[in-house]
Amino acid sequence: MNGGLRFWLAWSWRDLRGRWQLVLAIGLLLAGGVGLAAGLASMRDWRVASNDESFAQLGVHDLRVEAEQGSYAPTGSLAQAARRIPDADMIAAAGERLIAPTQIDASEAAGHTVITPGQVIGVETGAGREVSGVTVTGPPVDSVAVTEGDGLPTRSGAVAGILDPQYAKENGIAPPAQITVAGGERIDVVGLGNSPETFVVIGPGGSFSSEADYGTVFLPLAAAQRVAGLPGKVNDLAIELAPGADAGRVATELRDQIERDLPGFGLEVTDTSDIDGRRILYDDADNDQQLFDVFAFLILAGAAFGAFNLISRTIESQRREIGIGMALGVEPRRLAIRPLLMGLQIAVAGVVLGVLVGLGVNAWLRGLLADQLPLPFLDTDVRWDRFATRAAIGFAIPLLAAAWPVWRGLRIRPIEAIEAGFRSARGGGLAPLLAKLPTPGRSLAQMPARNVLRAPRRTLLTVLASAAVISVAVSMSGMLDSFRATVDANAAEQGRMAPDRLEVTLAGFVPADAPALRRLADSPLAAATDSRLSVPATLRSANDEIDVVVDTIPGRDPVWTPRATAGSLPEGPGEVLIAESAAEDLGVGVGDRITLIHPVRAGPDRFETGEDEVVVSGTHADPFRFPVYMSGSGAAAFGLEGRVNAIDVLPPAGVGENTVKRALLTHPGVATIESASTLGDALEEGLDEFGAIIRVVVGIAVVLVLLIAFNSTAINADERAREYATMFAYGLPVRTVVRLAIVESLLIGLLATAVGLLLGVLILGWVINVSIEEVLPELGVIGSLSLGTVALAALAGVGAMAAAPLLTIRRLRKMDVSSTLRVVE
Amino acid sequence: MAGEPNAAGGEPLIALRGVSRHYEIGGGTVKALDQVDLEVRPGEFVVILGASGSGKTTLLNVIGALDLPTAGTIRIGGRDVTGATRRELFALRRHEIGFIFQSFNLFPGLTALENVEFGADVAGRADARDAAGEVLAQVGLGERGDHFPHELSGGEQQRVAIARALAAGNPIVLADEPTGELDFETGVQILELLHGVTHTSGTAVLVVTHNREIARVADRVVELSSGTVVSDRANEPAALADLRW
Repeated sequence: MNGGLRFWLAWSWRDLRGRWQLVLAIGLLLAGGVGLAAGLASMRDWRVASNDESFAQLGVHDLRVEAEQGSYAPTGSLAQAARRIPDADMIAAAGERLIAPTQIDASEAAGHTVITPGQVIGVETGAGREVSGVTVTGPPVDSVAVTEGDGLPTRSGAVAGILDPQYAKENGIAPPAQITVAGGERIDVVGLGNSPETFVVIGPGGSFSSEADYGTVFLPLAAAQRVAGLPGKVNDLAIELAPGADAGRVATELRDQIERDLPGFGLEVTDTSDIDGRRILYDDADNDQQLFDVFAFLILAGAAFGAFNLISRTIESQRREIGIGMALGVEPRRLAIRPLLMGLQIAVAGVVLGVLVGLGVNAWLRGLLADQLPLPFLDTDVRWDRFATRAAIGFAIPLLAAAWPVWRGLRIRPIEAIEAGFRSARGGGLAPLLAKLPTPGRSLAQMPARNVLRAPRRTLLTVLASAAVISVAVSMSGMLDSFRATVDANAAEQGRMAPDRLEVTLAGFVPADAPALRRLADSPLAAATDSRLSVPATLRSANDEIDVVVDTIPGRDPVWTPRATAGSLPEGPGEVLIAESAAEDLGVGVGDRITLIHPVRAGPDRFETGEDEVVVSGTHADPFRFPVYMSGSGAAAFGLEGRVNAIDVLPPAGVGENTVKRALLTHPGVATIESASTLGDALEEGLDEFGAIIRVVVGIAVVLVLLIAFNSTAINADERAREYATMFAYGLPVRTVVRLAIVESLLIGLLATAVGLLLGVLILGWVINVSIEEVLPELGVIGSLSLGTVALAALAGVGAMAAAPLLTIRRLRKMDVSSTLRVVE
Repeated sequence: MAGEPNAAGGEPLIALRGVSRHYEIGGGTVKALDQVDLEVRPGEFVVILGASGSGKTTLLNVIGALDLPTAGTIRIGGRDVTGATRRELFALRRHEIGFIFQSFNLFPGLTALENVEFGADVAGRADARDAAGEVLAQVGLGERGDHFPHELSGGEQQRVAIARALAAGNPIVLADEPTGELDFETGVQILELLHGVTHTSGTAVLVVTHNREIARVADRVVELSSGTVVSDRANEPAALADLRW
């Protein structure tokens, strides 16, 4: 037996030497699938581990007391309330903060114009500590990780702070530097760092913002109070609970205590799960992994179909040899050794190369995460368990692919297997179906389509292999298209009447006829202005509850008003215009009633929460879900009649946006100024980052399609050798034969592209309606597939397939026609 | 030994002068053909007879412009093709020669009629479809045109292959062991067909075979041994009914 095995092994080794290129090619195809699947499989583990480490090291709060917009408490009062609750021993640590919106002018530090909205976060200072090369400074709860430069100065009142590293990086700011914030106050930036709530940039009202366009500055509390013009005031309390504490009970006791200590102080007690950035980081890790898994599965499926097809075809070519062996009485299990060893060779090549590709993908993703994941602590060790499972799948595929044709081969009668010549000729597959159709063209023109249908199983496998890979390219590229369509829809809506419009947010609610507003309206840098209210609120229906920002619509000659795509603009105080995506999520339509939960002014610096039933007067087309509009009369519901906190400013013709921003920044009471297209710009910037991953995956997909196409064509050329030789004997030139092969490949490519497009659109629909909906519910992504994406699919499918026969020209030119014609098999 | 013109007259369609085809294999020289002279005229039915390795297939290949001689000259239709370019050789095959193979080599994706039409197509015949139908009817398969090769018997497939070669309308048909895969009766039918073609259309037919019985139906038998022509003689064709193999 051992001698026998050696014989078969030696024969197999000779086989390998004879067709190592094919084994390598199929191995590479598998390696692409296994490597991408293994490489991408680690992403969730890495991100979750990095999230856990970063949030834990910075002592993310368990509970947080957030004041309603415009509500402030005296310094020390919130911390004191926390110390006075009945279960105060459940609180391990607490820190007061002042979080105030501002406008940042970082032009001097950046060396170019950088005027953006942002926030100042005033925190208690403390001694820093070193963790894995990162300085952790600031308060014990929601600490600040300093990734560059110095920590927060401990000297109380010093106007020196730490800037968000993402903002600094995007704008080219390095400490030490100086920035100016609203009110003209200059701040020394001594370091770069962020805290758990600012890992992901969340703009005012919970909307996301781009890293370049929204800055966070950490300052010692006293300095922040001075900069914000709120001396002695705080509006936030971050709490770390003792182990085993009952968070719900502490939250209730806090609410009660603060109500007793600070009557009328509007507040909300939130917990860790309410941190938008944290939710996005974890959800994103899960959803991206789902997406990557789908893509990896498809790539692996494409590789599997391709490998299965090619191995089957190669082993079927050994049919006669198997038949001869059977005729000579060799046991079937021995006959199976040689073809199965070929499967084994491909499996080993696929796994070894796949692990190398996977490590390469890992290294690339590690760099990408380090560059783009906004976390101070990263854990990106190689996850060998993930590699092992993907490698096992990659190993099993060629063995299974080999087992099937071997099983079939061993089941037929030896006489059938060794038949040669015309008796061994196979049927025409589905080609007869086509013959019944009146198709144009002569015999030559008929050949490609007939050949496609001659072996329907093979064609199907090739089509599925290519389609699976193309669908990855289509869905990933389609995601970019959809985000772009969403950005365009936002820009079309917000820039409809006044594309250059600037939105100015005021530091508080001021009377509409306040002198400061008049000065702003009279400024030569404002061609037109409109003042309005902008209030964060919540809409609730039987279906859902969503966070929104309610804006009142200015009355006469507005700089900008929303447009109702269904129904009408709100007229009475009890009507709202909501986004189409909001209406969909809430399950309401025009004329339906919903609940608006909103702040109600209870006095200076005091807001309470109120609820009103409102009627949906219409819907608007902004893809963002949160903009809600009411008529000017709606201000009464908030207790803010005659008051405003936001202004639309139209710059005069020929005056640049930055000039106006810089000028308005000096006006008292101005908190932030941003372009109406800021949200769209943030999305656009996010796209650029996401685009890097997409481009690489799409690139790998295109290479895999090429490999599938080339392998398939190469084996076709072998199988059709006698047909080609006959054509040559009849005087058909090589170019005509290649042209026929190209048309045949083109047809398969067209089928693969069509199936790939269809599959890609289905995946895109799932990504948009399920995956993105979970992570970014506030964004109604518009599903879109650009011509460019369709062209990419066509290039990958039709182009690669059609080009593949060109690679066989040399082989065809060198064909020994005479010998090939006499080959009996 | 020079071939003498047989019963058929006119200028030779095929003229080989001192044709050799030598191969360098394993440091030695194999003389597949050595100094072969041969002339074939229109309407001749010539059988090239020889044992395995005698050089008969090599001779067919150089006549069919599938291979080039290492010495000597070949004239096809009066034109010297010895130094022809690859492109010219392809054109020569399209317009001067039709092939019939032992294993038929029909295109499995095309019907019988389309296979025949292929021959007419590549020869550039404008009436390819009509010509194909006509020739297919001539070989007795007018009713089987819509069938695919796998739906035909071996004899029918070979008849389609003959029709394909004839549909090109070229003056030379080269057949390599055309009855090699067929039973006796079918083989006789095929020979009858080829014989008829020679005498009705004036096509020169060269059949390569190792079967002496087949050689009995030829107008002329050229016998090869070790790459040289050892005999070239006119033959009184035997009645097909007398054949046995």
